[in-house]
Amino acid sequence: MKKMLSGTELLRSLCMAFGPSGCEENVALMIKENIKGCYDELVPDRMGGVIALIRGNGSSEERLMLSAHMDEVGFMIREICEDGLLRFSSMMGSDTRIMAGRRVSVGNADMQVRGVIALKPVHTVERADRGKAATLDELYIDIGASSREEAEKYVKIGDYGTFESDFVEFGEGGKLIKAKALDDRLGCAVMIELMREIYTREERLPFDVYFAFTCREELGVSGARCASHKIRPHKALIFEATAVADIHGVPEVSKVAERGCGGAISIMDRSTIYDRDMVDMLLETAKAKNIPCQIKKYVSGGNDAGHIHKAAHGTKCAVISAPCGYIHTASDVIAKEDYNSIYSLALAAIERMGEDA
Amino acid sequence: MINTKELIGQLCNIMSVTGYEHRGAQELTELISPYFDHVYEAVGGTYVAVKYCGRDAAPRLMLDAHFDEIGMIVTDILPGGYLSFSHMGGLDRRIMPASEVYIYGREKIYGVICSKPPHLQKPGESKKLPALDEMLIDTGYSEDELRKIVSIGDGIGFYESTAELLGNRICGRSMDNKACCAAAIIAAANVEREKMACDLYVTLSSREEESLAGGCVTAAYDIRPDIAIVTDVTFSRFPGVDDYESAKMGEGASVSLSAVTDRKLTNRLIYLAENAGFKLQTTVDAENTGTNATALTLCGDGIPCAVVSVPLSCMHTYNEIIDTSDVEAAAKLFMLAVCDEDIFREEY
Repeated sequence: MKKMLSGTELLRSLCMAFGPSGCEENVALMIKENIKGCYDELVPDRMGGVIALIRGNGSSEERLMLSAHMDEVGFMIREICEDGLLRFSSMMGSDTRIMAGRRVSVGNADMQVRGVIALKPVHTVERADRGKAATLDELYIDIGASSREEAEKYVKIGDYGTFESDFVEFGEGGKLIKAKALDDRLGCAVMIELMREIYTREERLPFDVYFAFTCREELGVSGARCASHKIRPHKALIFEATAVADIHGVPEVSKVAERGCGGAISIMDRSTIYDRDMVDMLLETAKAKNIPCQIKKYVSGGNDAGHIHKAAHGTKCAVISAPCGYIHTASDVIAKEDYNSIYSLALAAIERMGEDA
Repeated sequence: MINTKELIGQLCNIMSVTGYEHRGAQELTELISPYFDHVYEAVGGTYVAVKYCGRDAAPRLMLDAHFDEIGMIVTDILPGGYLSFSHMGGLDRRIMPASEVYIYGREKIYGVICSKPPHLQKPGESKKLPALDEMLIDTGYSEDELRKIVSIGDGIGFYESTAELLGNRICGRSMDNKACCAAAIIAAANVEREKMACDLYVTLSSREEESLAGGCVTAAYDIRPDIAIVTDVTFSRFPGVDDYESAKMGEGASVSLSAVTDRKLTNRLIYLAENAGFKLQTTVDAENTGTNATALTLCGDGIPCAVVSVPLSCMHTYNEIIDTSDVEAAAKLFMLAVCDEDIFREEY
C-alpha cells in the first residue's frame, strides 16, 4: 500500500493539484486516495464534492459536519484570439495587480498547459497612466501559441485556469509556507488527518461525523449549501483560511489575525453570526489544552458557514480559519505551526463534543 | 552544439541585477570560457569575451549584449522581518503585489512582496498601483535574525527561473537580455576561426537597465572597435503595441531603423541575411533605440552601431517570453557579420 502523506507533504500535494471552482475533480480524486480505509461510507454529492461518514456508537442522534472547500481561485477562458493569445474571465475578483505577469495552468481536469498572464510592456503605457493598474481587458494568457489554430490544440473556450506557483518553505527555520490554494487545501488536509485519527480509534464518538470536502466556495455558489442539505447536521465546524493583515505598518485595529498564533475563531463575519456556545466551547477547549488560538478581530469576509447555518433546519456553526497572508493570490502564506494548532484544537473540540453529547 | 534553451536557462540563473553583475563573475566565466580565447571583467562590471581571427591588425567588431537585469535594492530592515526596497532599472509596478523574490544577502533568502487585503483597501484602490515605498517584502524572519543575513544595499532579484511554454517559447525573469547574450555566445562558439574577418569582442555589459549609462561605453573605450552591433530585446506584437515598434515572435531577429544607428551598417546586415536566404524584421525607433547603441555610438570619436533585436513579450516582468528560434536567427546573422570583410570598408 502507498504510504499516506501527512503534514507538509500532504499539504504540498493538495496545493499543487489543479482545482479552480467548478473543476475540482482532481482534488476530489486526491482526497479520496488519501482517506481510503478511514470512513464507514461515502455519501454521494451531486455537486462533485466528497462526503465521508464516520459513524458514531449510536448513543446520540446528532450529526456533526466538518467542512472545508476544495476549490481555489481561478480563471475561465472566454476567447481564443487569432494571434494565439487567450482572453479570460476572472473567478477571483478584479484586482489585476496580483494576476498580471503570473504563470498559470490552463486547461481542464485531464490536461493543462502552462501560460503567462501577459500585458503590454510598461514602456508603452502613457506616463500619466503609470500609476493605474492594468484593466482585465488588457490582460491575455500567452501559452506560447503563435496562432489560434495552434492554441486550439491545447485549450478550448470554457476551459479553466489557476495560478502556477511553487510550494516554498521559507523564513526563519522554514516556519512559513508559500503556495497557491492554501485557501482552503489547508482545511482539506486538516480534515484528512482528523479522519485518519478518528477512524482508527477503538472508541467511537457518540454521534455520526460527516466530513464534507466541498466545491465552488470561491464563487459564493457554495457546494457546501447542497452538502449540508444532504447531511442535515446539527452542528458544523468549518475549516477555512482568512486574510491576516499582520504586516508591518498596518494599524493594530486593522489586523485581522496573526500568523503563528493559532487558528482564528470568528464571532461574526459578513455571512454568519456564529453559534456562541460553539465559539465558547472552542475557546475554552483551547485554553484547557493549552493550544494556541485567536479570535478573528475584524468583521469581514465570509465562508461556507454562510450557507450551512441556514441549511435545512438550521445548523449551529463555528469556523476555525488559518491566518493566511496575501490570500487569493498565487502567494498564499501560512505558518506551519498554525496547521498543527488547528488540527489539535479541532480534535480536542470534537472529543469535547463527544464528552458533552 | 549548444542547446539554446539550456544556455538561456543557465544565463538566466545567474543573478545579475543592475549594479550586482559581479556576483556571477565566476559562474559566467566558467560557462562561456570554452567558446572564447580570453574572458575578462572590465572596469564597471562588463564582461569582455574575445575570439581572435588569428591575423595581425585585424579589424575589431564589438558585439554588445547587456547582461544586467531589472531588480531591487534593500533600503531598510523593519520590525517583524520586513524589508523596504527601491528599484534597480525600470520596474513594472503593475505586477508587483504578491510577487516572489530572492534577497541576495550573506545568504540567498526568499521573500514575498506584500499585498494589501481587500478589507483594508479603500474603494477603487485596487485600480491604483502602490508606490514602491508603500510596498514591503515579507521574509518570515525576526528583525534580529534578518539583520544577521541582510544589509541595507543588498540586491533583490525576482524568483522565477526559466520554464517552457509551447514549441520554442520559454518564459522567466531576465530574458531581457540573457536571450541576446545567448545569441552572441552561440555566434562566437559556432563561427569558424578561419572564416572570421575580424577579432570578435563580445561584451556582456553592465548597467543598461539603469539610465543606459552602460558599462558598454567604458569597455568600448578600451576595445576601440571599428564597428559595433548592439543586441537587445524589442517588443513583440501585442494588443496595444504599434506594429512599427514591434516584431513578430518566431519570425526571426529584427533590426532597428533609427537616426541613432548607422544606416549603412544596418543595410549591410539586411543584405547579408537576404543573401543567405533569410529575412530580418524591422522596427522604427526614430530618435532613440532604447538600447546601449544610444550611448555606444557616441563613445570616443564615435562608433558606427547597428541594433539587432529578439522579440520579447511581457518586457520588465518576471515572466518575459521569447522564442528560441529568434535567438538562433540572431546568432546566424552575427556569424555572417563576423565573416564579412566588406562590412569594415567604408563603401558597401
